[in-house]
Amino acid sequence: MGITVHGLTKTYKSKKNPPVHALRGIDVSFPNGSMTAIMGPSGCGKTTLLNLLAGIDLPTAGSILLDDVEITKCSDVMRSKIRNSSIGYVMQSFELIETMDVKENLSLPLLFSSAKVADKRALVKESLDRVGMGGYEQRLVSRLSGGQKQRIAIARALMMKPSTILADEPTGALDSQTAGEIISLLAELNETGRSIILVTHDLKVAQSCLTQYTMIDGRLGM
Amino acid sequence: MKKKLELAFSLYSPHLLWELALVVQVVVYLACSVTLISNFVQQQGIYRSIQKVFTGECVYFQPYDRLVDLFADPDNSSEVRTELSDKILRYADRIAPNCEIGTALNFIGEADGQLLKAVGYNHVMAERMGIPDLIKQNSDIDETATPVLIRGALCNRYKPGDRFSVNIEEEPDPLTVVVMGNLDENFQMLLPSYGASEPTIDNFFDADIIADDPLENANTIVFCYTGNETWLESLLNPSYFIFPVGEGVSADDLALQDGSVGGQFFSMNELIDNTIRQNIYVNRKPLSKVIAASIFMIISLFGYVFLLFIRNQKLLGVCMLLGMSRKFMYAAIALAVGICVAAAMVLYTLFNRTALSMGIYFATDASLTVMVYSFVLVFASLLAGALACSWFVSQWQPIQYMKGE
Repeated sequence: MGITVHGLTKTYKSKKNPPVHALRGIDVSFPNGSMTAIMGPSGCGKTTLLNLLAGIDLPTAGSILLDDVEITKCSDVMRSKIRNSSIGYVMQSFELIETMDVKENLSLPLLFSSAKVADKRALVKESLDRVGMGGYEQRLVSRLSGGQKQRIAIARALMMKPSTILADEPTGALDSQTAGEIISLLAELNETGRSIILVTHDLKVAQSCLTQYTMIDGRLGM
Repeated sequence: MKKKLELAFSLYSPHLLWELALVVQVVVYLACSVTLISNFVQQQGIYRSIQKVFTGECVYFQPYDRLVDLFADPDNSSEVRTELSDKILRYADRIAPNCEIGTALNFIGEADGQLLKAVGYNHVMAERMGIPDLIKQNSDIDETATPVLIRGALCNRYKPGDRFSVNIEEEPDPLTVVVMGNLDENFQMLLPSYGASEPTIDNFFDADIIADDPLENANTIVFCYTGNETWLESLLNPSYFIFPVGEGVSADDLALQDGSVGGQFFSMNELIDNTIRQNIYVNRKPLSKVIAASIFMIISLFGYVFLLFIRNQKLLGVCMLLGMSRKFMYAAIALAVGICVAAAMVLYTLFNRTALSMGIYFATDASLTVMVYSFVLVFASLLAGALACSWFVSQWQPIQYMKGE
């Protein structure tokens, strides 16, 4: 299974300006365990596609099936639950809460989970160990380097043990060496059976993925 | 709920000063609105209040001392009552500046196992009733005993110059009195209306009370007090008589001829009520100011909810990515604001000086209607803020915010 997209269209309407067609009938599937890169220039609709895959936004037309569940027909609460349990999100600017420490940042997804977690501390430790950041629980995020922050962001995405990780320019704010480490980390996660869908400008990063798509003007091509 | 609360608190942590400012603001709002609305409703009655609000002729009054309630409360100490009495005299002076204020009080006493009625007048009343000189002159001589005139069986037992003790109701120490003379049999006692009569419709003293003297031939002592006697403090419950300027009456020309001592009579409660009304009338505030204050508060709360949301955009955006539904977010914001309002209410209850000094808690300080009125205002503001948030959120995508697109 995995994620299957049919005729996905997203149009932003405006009273003053002509409508913007961010996505124009996209058909694509992301099988379980795949590692896919989506490349394209700014404004071509990459982030919109990730938003829709994560169930944050709804398409104008088309459908998205996540393991047989059509998330485009789910309520906001249901989509939020699916996002919490099945999807991990990693972003270019990390989006960690600077005033919280690492442990608190990692605990955030648990707030929205209906599953009972017996040992939150152990879960945090497991996720940190997974990204090579064991022992950083008490550290303030603002004291970490860019690479460390991205590792923490990935650890947070892993907290609920999602089947899919969506990464939006995960190396965009990192130097090439650190970027390489992050890509290696994502590849390792992929080897454990998780699907990785990453959006990037960087050809080198894209080449590390088995499948690559290019997006231009809301259309996806190989 | 626990998780929503957790998020609600995390909305606060980085910017505590904002919340403190809001708490202070809400405290001020609650204090003002509850007091103002409470006074207004008390003055106008609920129906009239609502009617006046809608007809636009409404005025709000300044804080109301509730002297009537305090005076009527038997649990209040003599100190409180004395203080209130002073206040009443000050108010009376405002109603009729430069007027003479006569006071009269009565109580039941006991001397040598026999009950007696004691009636006291202040110097204003005493002069008008023709009993001043005797007592005043002799009081200068003997300061250890209160000079009195006596009537009834007491006249058989005591002669002028005799001293005896009078037990006053529940007072532990008896009052020592010295007999200065007998009351003339025809002397018509002026009894305070308290417990005996009501003022007539035009507020002038009713002649019937004097003509039908219920104390005729009964054991009676009459004394004149200056108001400084400590033993009187627990008995202070006098009637007040206000004699307007120009209505000077000589001792020989007592108004008793027409059954009246003249002057405007007030029962104590009536006096308090009138003085307060006069006081608040002078200090009334137009409703527009209260409306302005309410609008200010509504906008503040509205803005605060908005602020809370905008200030925490990043946190909320991240939470949304991590699986927070919008419903969850609204609940957390509402809880956060609710916590703030609750904190404000607690502070208000704890630090409201009037409530503390009078031993009245917030719950009893205002009527249910008043509380409902206030809270409807507060929560209407919150609702408006929440609706605005809802609209804003519907236009808002967390990822676009984060990427700055």
